Amino acid sequence: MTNNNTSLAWRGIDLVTTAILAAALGVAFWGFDTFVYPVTSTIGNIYPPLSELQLGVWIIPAVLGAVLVRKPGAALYAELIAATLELLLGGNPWSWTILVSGSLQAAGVEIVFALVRYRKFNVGLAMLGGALSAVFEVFYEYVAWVPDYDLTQKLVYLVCGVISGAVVAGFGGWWLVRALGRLGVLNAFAAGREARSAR
Amino acid sequence: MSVKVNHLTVTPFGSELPAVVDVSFTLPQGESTLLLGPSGAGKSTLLLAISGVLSSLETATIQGSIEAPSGGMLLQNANEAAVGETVFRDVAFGAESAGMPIVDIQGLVDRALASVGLDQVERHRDPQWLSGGELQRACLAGLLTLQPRLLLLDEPTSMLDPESAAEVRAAVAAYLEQSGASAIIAEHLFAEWLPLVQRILVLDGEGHLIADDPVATVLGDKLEQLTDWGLWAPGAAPQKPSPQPIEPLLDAEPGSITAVVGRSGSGKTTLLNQRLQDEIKTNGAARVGWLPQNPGHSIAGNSVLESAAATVRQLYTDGEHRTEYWLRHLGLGDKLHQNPHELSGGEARRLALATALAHQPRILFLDEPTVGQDLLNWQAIVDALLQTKARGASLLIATHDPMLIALADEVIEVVPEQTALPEVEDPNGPVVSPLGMAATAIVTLVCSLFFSSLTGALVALAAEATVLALVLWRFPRLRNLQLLWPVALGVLSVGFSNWWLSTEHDLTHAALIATRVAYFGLPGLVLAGSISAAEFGDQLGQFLRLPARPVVAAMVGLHKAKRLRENWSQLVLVRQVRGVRKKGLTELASLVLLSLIEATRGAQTTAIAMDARGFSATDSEGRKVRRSWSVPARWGRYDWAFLLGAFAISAIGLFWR
Repeated sequence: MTNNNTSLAWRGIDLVTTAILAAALGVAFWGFDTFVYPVTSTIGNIYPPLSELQLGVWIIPAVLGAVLVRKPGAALYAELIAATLELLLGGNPWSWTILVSGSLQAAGVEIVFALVRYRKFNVGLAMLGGALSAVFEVFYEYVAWVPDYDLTQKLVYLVCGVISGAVVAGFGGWWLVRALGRLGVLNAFAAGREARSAR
Repeated sequence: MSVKVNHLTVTPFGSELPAVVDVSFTLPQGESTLLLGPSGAGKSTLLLAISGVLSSLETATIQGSIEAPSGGMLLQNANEAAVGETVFRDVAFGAESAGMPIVDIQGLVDRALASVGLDQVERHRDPQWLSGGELQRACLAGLLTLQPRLLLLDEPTSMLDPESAAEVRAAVAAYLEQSGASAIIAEHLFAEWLPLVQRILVLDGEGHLIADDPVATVLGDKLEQLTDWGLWAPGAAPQKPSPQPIEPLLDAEPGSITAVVGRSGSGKTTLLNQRLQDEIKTNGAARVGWLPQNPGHSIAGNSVLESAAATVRQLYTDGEHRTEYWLRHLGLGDKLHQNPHELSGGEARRLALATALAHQPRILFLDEPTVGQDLLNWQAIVDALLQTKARGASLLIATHDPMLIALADEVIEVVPEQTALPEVEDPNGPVVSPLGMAATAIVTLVCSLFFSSLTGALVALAAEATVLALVLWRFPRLRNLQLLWPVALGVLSVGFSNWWLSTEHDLTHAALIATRVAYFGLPGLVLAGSISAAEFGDQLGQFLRLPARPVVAAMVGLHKAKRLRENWSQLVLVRQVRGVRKKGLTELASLVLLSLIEATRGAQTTAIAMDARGFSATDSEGRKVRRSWSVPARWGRYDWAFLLGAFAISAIGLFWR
């Protein structure tokens, strides 16, 4: 799966589709924060590092943006929009720090695809990107949210986050683009056309 | 400057066949033409190509050449085409794209709105509160700010009631008269447009141009051909419908057709949906068929046949057979195994109608079944409705189609309630601006990381809570306190886990961390519901100098996301009515995927609408035109007060010993 877009400049449709899909995921986050997260994080208090298995959910937009648009900045753009929407809707404990998390959750994905010069967008790279983003986010959480955990707990916390980043965000985000592409609604994108012709 | 199209062939990405094949024509300066052809003839593609939108979208291979003055393009669905958070912002969008100075834009918007007869409209209102006809005229005004020499109209009135359609036509006519500009107009129901045009272009079903002649010549030579294709030529009338029921009768008595009428945007859909929900509450969903306003919502399957049969298959063993009958009747016989998400708008509506009819419901709720259909399909749809009535079903149909209304047994007229409009947001915005809020939050976040004493942190938190309580007391509309409990839960969870999983089990330190979280979480949270995405965009673009196009696209995305929650409840209802709900998480996943499909399709239309107003325009050297901003970014006394207050209160936590 290589990039057959000749230009790395953003088309209008790249910006708008990424923005709208990311905002849609932001609404989904809001639903998750409001209806699911309070339950899972309460259950998670049995052993709090396990809650970090949810981390990947919030990294999905970064992977989706990068895999869909295949251009520099797509992961960051998508993730920040999703985070902003989540922020505007409110109802989560993170408030404006969401934008810090959003940037870090995109950074790993962005770095991985930059390293292959935005030429390859396969599921392995997507999972690697999701995992690296999770590492950045977890280190930030060490400082801001769980500074008192002992070393063992911090390691478990990291491992849970990385697994979730790779599987939920990496595989999940890649799968979403593929699913939408197969349905024929992404024909304006190289990623969509490839998925469609592969169905 | 005249329009010259030379050997133009356009092949959309992902399609094997070209949509437009080797088209050449010249339209002299100041002359206007109709663009006619059967459904799917490539009319929209040709208009997009001439407007230049197709080359900025980069979604198709284009061969041949086009010379045309810069043109504005009006799309069929004004609801999807509107991108601004307010009427003013929406009309100003094109002028911003062209980089007009902010001081000129106000006047341009005023003049453009006046020239389409909308001088009375409230500029700070969300465009979705305009009626359908007003909204389409507002979109036209958005083009007129730039005084285009060419108007490209893609079925601009097909979704409107006759009165609203006439107003849109009058506004177009007035502009052409006053400016001497040209127009290319695609519309199925074209007789009313004839006085505005000198010529007619005709595309055949495969995208070849088969006529480019004066009006009289085409109407003389090709009228029969046009009527055969199902175009609503002047004088063309549907044949007498044949209400012969082909299916077993439900009742000896025939049913009834009730038409819900009223101007576009008057609340017909609301009334229909209300009645539908009442019916489901009293009698359950089993006897109900529904064609929702957005036909894409009723798709449930990977092929046209599978989707349409999903409900009936559970009820009858020969379900697919019945479904196939209706699909063939409604002209979808050759699309049975196609992907339902790739149908055109008119086809999707017929699929949704077949879906609603297939399981022989006793009560049907149909939202605009005939909108945007050509004559042949109109005939098939009306036949189907009359057959269903003869079978004994009752049909409640929201429609603005006069010929369909004429067939109704009863008519309910919906008059829009003026009082139902929500209060217009204060033009001066909420208390504190989004960027002011962001700065406040960042100050509290960074400072709180250095809080070292629990008492100090608690005192700072108490001070902060007091100030915010006063703000909420003074400005009740900012109260959004149900947002508090997820935060409270988060704070407790952070405190608990930091205590339990630490080496020293230091309760005081864990409490300090929890207090910090509460301290930096509180301010953003309390004001979360009141932030305007557009205003945030103004500030990011003008104060922080972030690049305009990504910021504007993000504003549009955030604005459009508001509708997703409405879409969600419609999807849930459709799946209940259709009896296609799955269990638990599978259903949730289906709903999320369907919403994303919906969002993606909407995004394409929005991207077209934005590029049609110059969003991706380039200058003569191929660089993107620098956008301007129509609304000055705001930084007021409350922003200063919040920022300084954040420093002052944080100082308590920082220096407490």
